Amino acid sequence: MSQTVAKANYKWRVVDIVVAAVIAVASGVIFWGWDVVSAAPLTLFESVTPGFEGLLNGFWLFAGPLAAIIVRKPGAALFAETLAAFLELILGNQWGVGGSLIVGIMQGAFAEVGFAIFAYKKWTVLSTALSGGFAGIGCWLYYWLTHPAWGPLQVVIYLITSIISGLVFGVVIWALHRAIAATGVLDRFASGREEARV
Amino acid sequence: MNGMVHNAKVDNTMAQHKAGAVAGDKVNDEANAATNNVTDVVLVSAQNGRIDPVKPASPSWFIARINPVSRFIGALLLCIPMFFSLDVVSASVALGIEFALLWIAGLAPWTVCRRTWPVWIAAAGSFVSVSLYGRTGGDIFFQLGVITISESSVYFALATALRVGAIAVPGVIMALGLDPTDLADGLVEILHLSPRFVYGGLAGLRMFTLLQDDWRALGMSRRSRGLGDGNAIARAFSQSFGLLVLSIRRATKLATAMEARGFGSAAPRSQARISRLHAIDWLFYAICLSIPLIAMAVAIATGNWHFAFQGV
Repeated sequence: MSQTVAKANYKWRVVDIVVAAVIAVASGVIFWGWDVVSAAPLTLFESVTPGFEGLLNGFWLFAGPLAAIIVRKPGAALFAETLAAFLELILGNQWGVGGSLIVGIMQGAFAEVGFAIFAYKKWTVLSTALSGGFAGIGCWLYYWLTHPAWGPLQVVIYLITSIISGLVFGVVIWALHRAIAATGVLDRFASGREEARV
Repeated sequence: MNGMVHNAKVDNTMAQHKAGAVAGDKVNDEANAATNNVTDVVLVSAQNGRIDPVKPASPSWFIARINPVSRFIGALLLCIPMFFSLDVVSASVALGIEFALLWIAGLAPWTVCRRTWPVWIAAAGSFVSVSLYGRTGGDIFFQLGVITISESSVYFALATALRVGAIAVPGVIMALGLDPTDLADGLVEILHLSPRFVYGGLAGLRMFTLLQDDWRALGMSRRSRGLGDGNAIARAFSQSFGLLVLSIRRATKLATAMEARGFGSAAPRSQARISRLHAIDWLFYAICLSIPLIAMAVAIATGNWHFAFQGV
């Protein structure tokens, strides 16, 4: 087959929607699991440090960047993060509609920024990490809005730790996506065809 | 109900997709069966005897009657005004009204507490973090490094914790028993979201029920190959990766099956299930909006109201 030059295609196919949805569902289960697992460390971090609990946020930030780097369409991060948050909500957690769904939508919208600043043309470890970092800002924004009584020190530390957590998870997600691509399961996506294995 | 119909459809889609490959074998089997005159009778229950118990859409009779979309609109109407006020009076009045209304709607306060216990852990966390690191003001009770417990930080910590409860309790209760299929219908027909994305997302959600079976099957097949008896954490990670890959593979297949049935085409889509808003939905919105408004009015009238984003 002759090599064709891949052109960025922003139109969603059915396979993009369904695969993004499945990634969101798998992520939503992890969100929910982390809700349960993190309850104790979160309270501990909240009480012994001013804002370092932001470091634990990464487990709620990765769905958007993961879906975006795999299906590579504008809106994928928002779609996946929202759906994952919705599943987390209906499985039942401690935050209800506000702290799971609204924050999920905000994280997803911010995660889009990481790819949007490159006009959805750069799908690299940098844009994925940035997407995670921006998702961290979205998470911070929600917690700052819902905790207006936080002192300035805590607001700043929470912002920084949340971004760090998102950046770290962005890099991890990048590695995960490469590993998934190596299995050949992404052969219907640009992400799986980047380096054709001969 | 609706969920069943949809699930059955997706099942068929997948079953037929697979059936294509084995159709040839089936024909042979039938031919064999005819020649051997085997009477392999499979007993099935009568079609109208197959009744699944109806799962209530919510533990509350009132919430079960409203459109699923209304639960989210109502939750937003209730939450958003609460974000603007941060004082003990408005938060506790809102919480009190919510408990009373939920009682009328069929959920006794102890049931509500049992169903929402994680909320109170989160609220306790907020209380601790704000009281130790919150805005300082008034008398200072205790100081150590960055920790300062002052009169106003304790007051705001209490207000924050109560407000976390007032925002989260109705949100958690409203999400109980929500049927994703009914919600998807509402999102498409009432909020006019793109049906491709909504139903595509729903198809993905449906995979959730398969994850558990897949996990077990993966574990067994790995064991039969002598894998996974070592480190439990390493096994969990490696098996999760396998599960993710398996899910993506199945999603790709499902997408093909859905496209084969015309999903995602440009042709206009009609709706088999009708999702509408009724008078009860508008009543619900009015109730949801009145809770924060009454709470804030009481706080203002008693002189305790505090705008959330204003300094101490």
